[in-house]
Amino acid sequence: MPPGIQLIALAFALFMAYLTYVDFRRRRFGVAALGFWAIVWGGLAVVSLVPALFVQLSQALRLARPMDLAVVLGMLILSGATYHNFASIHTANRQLERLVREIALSKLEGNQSPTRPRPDPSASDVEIHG
Amino acid sequence: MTNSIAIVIPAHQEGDRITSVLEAIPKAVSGTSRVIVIVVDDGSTDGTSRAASQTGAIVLRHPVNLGAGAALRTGTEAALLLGADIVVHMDADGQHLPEDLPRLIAPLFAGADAATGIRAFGRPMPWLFIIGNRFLSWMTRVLFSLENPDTQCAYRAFWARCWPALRWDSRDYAFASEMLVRGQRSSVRWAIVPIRTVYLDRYKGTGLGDGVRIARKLVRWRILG
Repeated sequence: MPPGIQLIALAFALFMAYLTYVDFRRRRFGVAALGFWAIVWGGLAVVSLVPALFVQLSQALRLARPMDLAVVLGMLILSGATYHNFASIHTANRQLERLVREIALSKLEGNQSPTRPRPDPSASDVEIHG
Repeated sequence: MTNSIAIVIPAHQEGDRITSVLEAIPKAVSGTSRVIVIVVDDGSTDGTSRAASQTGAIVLRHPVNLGAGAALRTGTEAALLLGADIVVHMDADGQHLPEDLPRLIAPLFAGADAATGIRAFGRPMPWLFIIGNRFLSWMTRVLFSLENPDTQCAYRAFWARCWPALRWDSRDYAFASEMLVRGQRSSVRWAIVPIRTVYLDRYKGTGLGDGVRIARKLVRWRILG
């Protein structure tokens, strides 16, 4: 009989695998993402069920137990996913800002006739004073 | 006298105050031939756009709230599209008095590239804001050798030609500091103009969290450029 923590990890892995499958069916992401998360949850399930398979690998990495290996790998994946979320949200924020500003300015461009061309942000026609 | 001046006012949930602020803006400003008033409604849900439109101002609307820095950038870009020669930033809640406008822009005609208001640090400014403003101004001086006793005052004016040098990316209140820092790096010549200090009972501007964010960004700009 596996220890309680292994059962919890197994139940969690199965539940997350189910959620991942449901989200895939809802077309929230593609096959590549499904494959990645299937490997993550499948790996967690295997480590939970037959930790002995990873005893040698754990020892080679100087970890006491296979579950420690799962925890360390989980933390690495979590860190990577957090960074990925950060980068995605940052990009989405920038895109949202640009979109909102363009919507606001489009009203002006529709109703007014500018007397001067749109400023080029990269242009450096500022007079430099010492 | 062919200079046109655009007064850019970012507004968020200012439906009950924006009308009086806009009506107080003079129709003519000494040294300029045309006054354009641009209100950028930053995602308000209280009828700010409608109230501003009724005064005849040009009203642009952000469908969602982006922040004061983003709203001012939208308004400044609009001002340049409309051919403004001078751009003025003014708050929508009545903190900046239109009576101070001629004094604010006067240095521009005397050779300055930009002018920024500075407030007196005393009553009626709340003590927490005095500490915060002094601290951020001190930080700016230490990190960038930039002498400005009130870096967070958003009552400013600049020649439109300075826009490429001042263009800020901050969506939040850090735009005020970013504008100064960018300007200094491009040798933009700033003038400092004392303005009257007005604080209202329903203050909605910078808070402690904003102050911390601005301080963090100042350090980042110093280290990363």
